[in-house]
Amino acid sequence: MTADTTPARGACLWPVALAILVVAVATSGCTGESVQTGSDDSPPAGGPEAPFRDVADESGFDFVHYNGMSGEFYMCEMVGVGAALFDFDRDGDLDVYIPQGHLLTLPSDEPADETADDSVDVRHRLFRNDLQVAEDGTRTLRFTDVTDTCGIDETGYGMGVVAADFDNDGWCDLYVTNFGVNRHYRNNGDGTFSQVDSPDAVDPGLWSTSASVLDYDGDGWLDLFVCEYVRFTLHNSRKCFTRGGARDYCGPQVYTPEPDRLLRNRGDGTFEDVSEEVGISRTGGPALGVVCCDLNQDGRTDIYVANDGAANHYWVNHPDGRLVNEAILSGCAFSRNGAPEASMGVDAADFDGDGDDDLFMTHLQNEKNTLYVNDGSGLFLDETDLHGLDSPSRAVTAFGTMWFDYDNDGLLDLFAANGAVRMDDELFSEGDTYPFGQRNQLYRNMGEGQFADVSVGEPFEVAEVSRGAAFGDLDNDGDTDVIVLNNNGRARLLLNGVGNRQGWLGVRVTGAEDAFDAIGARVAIHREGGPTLWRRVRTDGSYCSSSDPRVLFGLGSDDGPVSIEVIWPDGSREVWHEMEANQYATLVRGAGTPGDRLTLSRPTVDD
Amino acid sequence: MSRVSLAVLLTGAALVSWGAVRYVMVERDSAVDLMVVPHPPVARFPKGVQEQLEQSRAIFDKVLAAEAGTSGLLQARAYGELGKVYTAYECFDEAAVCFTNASRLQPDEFRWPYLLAYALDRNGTQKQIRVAAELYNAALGLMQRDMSADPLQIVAGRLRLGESYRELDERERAAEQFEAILVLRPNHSEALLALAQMASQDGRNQDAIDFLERAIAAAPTYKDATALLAAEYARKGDRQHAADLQARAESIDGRGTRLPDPLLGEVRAMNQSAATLNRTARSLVRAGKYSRAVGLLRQVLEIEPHNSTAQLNLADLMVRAGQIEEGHRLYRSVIAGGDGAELAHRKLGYSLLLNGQTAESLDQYRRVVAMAPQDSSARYFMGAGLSLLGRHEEALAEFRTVCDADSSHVGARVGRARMLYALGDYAAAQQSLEEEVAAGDAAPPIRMTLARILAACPQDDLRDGARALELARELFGEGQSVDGAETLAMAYAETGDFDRAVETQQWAVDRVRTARRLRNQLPHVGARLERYRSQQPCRDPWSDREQFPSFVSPNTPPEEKSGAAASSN
Repeated sequence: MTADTTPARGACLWPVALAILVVAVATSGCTGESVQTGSDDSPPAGGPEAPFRDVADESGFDFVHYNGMSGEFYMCEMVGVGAALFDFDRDGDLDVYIPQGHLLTLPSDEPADETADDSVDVRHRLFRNDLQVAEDGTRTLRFTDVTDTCGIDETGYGMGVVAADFDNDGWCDLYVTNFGVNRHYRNNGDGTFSQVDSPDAVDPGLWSTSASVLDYDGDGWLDLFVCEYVRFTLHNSRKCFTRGGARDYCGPQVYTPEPDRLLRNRGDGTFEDVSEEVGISRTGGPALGVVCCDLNQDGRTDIYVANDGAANHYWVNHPDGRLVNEAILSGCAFSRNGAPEASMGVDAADFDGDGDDDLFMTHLQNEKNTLYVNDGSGLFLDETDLHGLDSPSRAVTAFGTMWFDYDNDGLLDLFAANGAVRMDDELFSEGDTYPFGQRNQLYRNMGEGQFADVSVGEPFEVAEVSRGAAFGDLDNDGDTDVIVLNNNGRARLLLNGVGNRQGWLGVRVTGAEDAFDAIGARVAIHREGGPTLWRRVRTDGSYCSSSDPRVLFGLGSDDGPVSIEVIWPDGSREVWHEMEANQYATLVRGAGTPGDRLTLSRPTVDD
Repeated sequence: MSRVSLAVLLTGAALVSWGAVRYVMVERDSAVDLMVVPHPPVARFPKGVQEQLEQSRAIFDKVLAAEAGTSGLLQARAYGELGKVYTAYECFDEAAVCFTNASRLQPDEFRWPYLLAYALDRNGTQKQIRVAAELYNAALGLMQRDMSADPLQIVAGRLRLGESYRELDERERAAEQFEAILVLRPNHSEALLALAQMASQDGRNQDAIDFLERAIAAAPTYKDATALLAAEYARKGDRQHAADLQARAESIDGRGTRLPDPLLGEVRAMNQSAATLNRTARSLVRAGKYSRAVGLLRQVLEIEPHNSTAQLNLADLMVRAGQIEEGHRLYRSVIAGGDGAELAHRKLGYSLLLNGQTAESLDQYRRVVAMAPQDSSARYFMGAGLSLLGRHEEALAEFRTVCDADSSHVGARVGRARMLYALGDYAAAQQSLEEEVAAGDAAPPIRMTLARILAACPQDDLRDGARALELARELFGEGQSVDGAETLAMAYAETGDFDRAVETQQWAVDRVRTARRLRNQLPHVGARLERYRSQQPCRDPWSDREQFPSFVSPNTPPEEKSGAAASSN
């Protein structure tokens, strides 16, 4: 390669040389291979240990999603499903519910719940966790498909699911969102479920996506916020194309966005639609993700909605019961440049340890994921680029995501479930029949608010079309595992193999003995000489999924004991002292020490 | 040696040297290490695009064959042009190879590293973004030494480089680029916005506000900047100002201004796919450039005769231009084709309604409702059509269904009241409107309808002149219209103030006389004036000619309607 070809115009040589040099650098990565899907910055072989491994096969967790695609490029084929992790049989371990799709046909054709291939079971699935713990502590994770016996014969075109105790009987129920009519299933407490109808909240049969539970009115009964996407039907389906003119899936801009719905619990486990009453029925947005938490720390649960390609909504819960959208004023409607972003998955947690919940959202390829940092009063700044989360995310499209401490070092990390929504022509030409695959990513919080892409190991090397992701400790060994739902593909069960090597403490926070978890409570670990760790009791976040309601703290090298403070949804506080590390404990309301904010000094024996 | 001999000798030496240099250049250029450009995967592209790409490739191969062993300049351009075509169709990997080769052959040309950077930047990994930043930097260096470089290109280059640095968290270098833009273009909106956001991240709230105010002063419809400014004022604690800005941002249609990137514009123009032409046509329509849009859409239909998007867009333009039959024909083509049929039914239904073909309009909307039973809009227009046909009971049923399903639908609420009134149930009509007003924040059409009933209902116990006057004054103050003036005049008359009633009604008459499209209203507007002059109040809120909905006036002559449409083209 020439470095000194004499330029005719007498320009300085050094910028030319630099240009050629960087061209050489550039072309060493441009050999005609397809665009990297996220991990060309991965550590070299022989580097860090892989934190997760896929144990779906060996554990009997056998689920393949069927999106029913038939060449019509129906928009709903592209968005995938989520999952719920919940203990439906109260045996102490997390079971899994997963929605399923089916062939999509117009009513004039075959019935919608029939498939061309009779071997495809289009029912949603319930997997019971039959975890075995041997005397020596060895854990064997086994799942059993109990769909046939659980009483749920759900064949709607599934999207998401929320698991929570809606009737306060101590048994975890389900609310399933569909492209079509949603369903509410009551847990009968005997391993079966029964469908529940709410006459005051007749489901309009729209396209619902994520949903979240919250007690928005503080009456002790869990209400539901349901995200509605766009007014898409098989009848009004449009044809969309790439810039090259190739047929592709449409984006949400093609259709009218729908307003979301707030369903108030009537105090008996059924619901009434109060969307108009609270003021959200007139503001539509193509909603895909939602988190419910007190973002402005005024003691009331707010609702943050990730809208696809449109301004996000931040519904501030006012004392008069109204919800007012203050996203633009609060700086969390748009990206740093004031532009709407795709916004599929979302989560809220205190990643920087300043006591307030910050927001992280996932977006499309060529957009960055977004980190909105909370200033404590519910005002946000897009600081993605300041924390190393900008450029690593631009090469991929991400959906499910969550703040979780995978390595239990006390710092919240991030997982992103990636998968394209536009066809990769390179993969297509190589014979890939479903050319949307991208690799998932794990971002480790390195401290000082900086993140690094640490996507190491086989689960991060395979390129699949990931959508939902549910997080929880499936083998109860003290670290967070991940279930990844792949669109039109096999679900993965990523077992965490590193987290429990460090100190940890897991808590269930409940309002009463045998009651469900106290959704909306805030929990803090206080330790002498260590930072306070704030978390919240929740199942929401990610995409179309419902995660482990237990709060799992990573303690790093600290083996405890620690003190735990719980702020209940009504604002009252209790503390538990001398909590030993490396265990799961249940904190029942009334069993702790009531009081004001905890001081950092540990109480002496004489106290 | 004589001076002449020395001169000849030196000249000869110079020539020989020059030849040697040229020889070296030729030899070195032919030794430039070039990569083979792969063929992009185009199997899914439409035939027309595949042909364009094949033709481009064929031309490229010819030039390369013809220029083998030459100075490389033409080869460089051949690689570059092929790269541009590939970029236009988002074949970025192949485009990157082309631009790499072009850069190697023509290292002093800024376009190649610039376009290479763009190709790497799109969908790029972190490593590629870093390389892209270096390439943008190199391209800028070359631009600054190139007299032919468009100043707009330099600005665009700095903006891209600045954004790349931001993505890589190199904030100081990013800020340098944005500030350099402001030296060339002091009111460059995007540079100001970027600096504003960086200032906000640094906690410099007032600096952020200053930058954003400048950006909006330069581009008042810059939605993104307006939204960010709202957030900054909220951060400052000025909630009222923030709320005003939020409202303004929400009212802006589209994103706002964008300064051009000439080189990328050139590349985008190479994309002749139907999809891109459709998008371009849509942009032209938004910009009011209708005849250019029509030309592009016809071009799309030459490529793809059944492209429903082009058919729909062209149909809209035909109807707007008064070529109703042609527009309707295109809508029906879409319906027959299937793709976009629901939308075509709606658009055809609406156009038929506006043209007084009410029964056919109803048929179209019935089909929409059959496809989408939940659709409030279609049901509303069905109600509108039924109302115009005098089928008030059926219209009322449709409006009620819409009201139940969609609490935000003002038209349906007004329609419900109007149908109740038309059926003689004046009390129910008034009650439905009172409930809306009592709930707070009732839209003007709801208050207007209530005001008219209160002012002019024939049922004595339902009239309330004082209240009608209060509502009518409020409405007329919000916006002076003929409708508002008439309502105000009715209210004045009901309270006995006929002088004011006459004055206000005269205002309405004068407006109607001067507005061609309102002239059909002259008879009843004039008749009311005469009543007020005779000291008689109005006892008919709506004359026979004032049907609901008012946006459709069946008495407007077709030629007037088409004339009004043509004048907006």
